[in-house]
Amino acid sequence: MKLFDKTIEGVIKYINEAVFAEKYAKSRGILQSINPKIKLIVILSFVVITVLTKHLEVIFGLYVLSLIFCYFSNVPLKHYLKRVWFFIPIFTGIIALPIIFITPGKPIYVLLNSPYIAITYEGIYYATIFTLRVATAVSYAVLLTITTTWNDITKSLNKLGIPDMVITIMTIAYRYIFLLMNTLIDSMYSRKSRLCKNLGMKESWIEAGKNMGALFIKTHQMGEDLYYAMLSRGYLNEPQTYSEFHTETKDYIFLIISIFIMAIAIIIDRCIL
Amino acid sequence: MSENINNISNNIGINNDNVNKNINKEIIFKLKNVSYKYPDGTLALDKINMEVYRGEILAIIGSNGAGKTTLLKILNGLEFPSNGEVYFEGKKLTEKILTNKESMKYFRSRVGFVFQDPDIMLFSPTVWDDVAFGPLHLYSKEKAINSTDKTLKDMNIYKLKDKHPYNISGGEKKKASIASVMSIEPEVILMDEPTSYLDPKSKKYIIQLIKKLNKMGKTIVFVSHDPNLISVADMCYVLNKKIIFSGYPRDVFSNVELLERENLDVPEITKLFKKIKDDLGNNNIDKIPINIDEGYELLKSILNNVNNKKE
Ligand SMILES: Nc1ncnc2c1ncn2[C@@H]1O[C@H](COP(=O)(O)OP(=O)(O)OP(=O)(O)O)[C@@H](O)[C@H]1O
Ligand SMILES: [Mg+2]
Repeated sequence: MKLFDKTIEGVIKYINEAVFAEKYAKSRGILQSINPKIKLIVILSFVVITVLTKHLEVIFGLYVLSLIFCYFSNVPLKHYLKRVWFFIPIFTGIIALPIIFITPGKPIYVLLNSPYIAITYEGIYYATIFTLRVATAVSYAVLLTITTTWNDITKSLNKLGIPDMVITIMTIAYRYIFLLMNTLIDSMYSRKSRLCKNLGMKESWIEAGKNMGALFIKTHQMGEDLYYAMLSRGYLNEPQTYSEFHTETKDYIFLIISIFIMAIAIIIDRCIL
Repeated sequence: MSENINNISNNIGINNDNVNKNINKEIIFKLKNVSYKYPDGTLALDKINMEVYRGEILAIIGSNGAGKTTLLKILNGLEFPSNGEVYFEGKKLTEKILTNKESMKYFRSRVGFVFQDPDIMLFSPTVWDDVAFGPLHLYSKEKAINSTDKTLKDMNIYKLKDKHPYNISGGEKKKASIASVMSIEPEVILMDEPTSYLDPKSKKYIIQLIKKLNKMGKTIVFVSHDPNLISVADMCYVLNKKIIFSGYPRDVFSNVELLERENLDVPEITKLFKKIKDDLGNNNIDKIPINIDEGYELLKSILNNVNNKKE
């Protein structure tokens, strides 16, 4: 899906599908079978290592590893790549693009002589490494969310010592965004039905912007009721899931192999290259 | 059940609804001088005194903004009165009780609340997860799984179990939201406009469901504008910040001035018989029917009388 030929409606539907459906979190695969708590620790460690890695080759290796994880978790590669690369251009484009021009070094193509602006070899290298690093970090984060239900994530965070109140706020925020998006889509429809014509991409975003104010007021109230609806059914700042967290042999094997891989990555990055 | 008694009382002109019910008038909820003011200063409830008895169907009616939803939130311990007290099974309901895990679980497993807007209640990735949410937080895992499956089957929405709650119809959402409370198997069910969003057949289904649950011994408190639903209640409270009227549905439906003032509607069958009575001055109609069953019985007895006279 290309971002810019989609109306806001399409984007919301896409996010709904991708983020809230939890389709792959319930299918069978390596990551789905790992104790969520261990998975959370391992994957967050991979994110940290990715961010700290200096060399393109190592980051590339880590990226490939995430694809391998994805493959063995029965997540369609296409779906996975789509979810990762959907956000990358927005976040990195703004930062990576100037790096190409402002990094001093061997010029490849001179744009202007005074002031001197040139695309440099170093600039391209740093922009690539930056983009790939972000993409790899995002890939691991997506891997976690795609193979784990939201309830398991919050429950793991809770077990790792994140306070109940923070968990509740996260949970409500998560559901609130969902509600906000669906309310937005409904009000778009009601507008569309009165306008008697389809909105183009640009108009749809403008219309959505106009709706936002009223929408926030409306959904503010909904957010409170959402919390009440959870309280009313026995929620007390502590997420419950119907999966038990047992640490089995396979979890330890996964943990040991992961630590081994991370150690190799660090050694190659810091000592060999 | 009480048809015979009703017929007799019809003939002798005594209003004898619900004779068989509430024999042991056991109070579940008691409200004493309850007032509620929203943080922005809106006074939503003003010195409410009321009781809810075990096993009854209680209707709370009133125009938009009358405070009905606020009252249900207070009964469910979601909001607490600015003034006055709420008692549940004789114990005062306080914020402190509901933050204690054990007493919270007890209360939440006894009292369920179906919100007006199903979108508020459906926040999980699948319908199954939503229906399981309550039991999972209140009971053991096995019990939660069992009661979730059972409820979905009982309510005929098992086929929706793996669907994303956003991708189902309005009526299905409503049923799923009711199911997500039924799976807790509460003794008292609070319902905010249970028949809104529904097609006529589903409306009928909900009315039957309420009757069925009540027969099983559940206490039901609902808010509604739907006269057909109101007519199945044992007792009605008309609310407009204060309780301005309480009585049987029949009393409400026959109180013309009250109906006008509070924007309330009356079942079609009641309108019909009222018109007959007013226009024809028919003395056979002592008690104006409020539902089809009563209308049928009354019409049958009138027609029988006519036939008897002819013979
Ligand atoms: N969160 C809030 N903050 C401030 N005022 C509120 C809030 N919620 C409701 N009110 C006000 O309190 C009063 C009672 O509201 P409530 O929702 O209880 O009415 P209702 O009888 O359920 O109406 P309806 O039939 O429209 O659902 C209204 O005047 C309403 O505007
Ligand atoms: Mg209301």
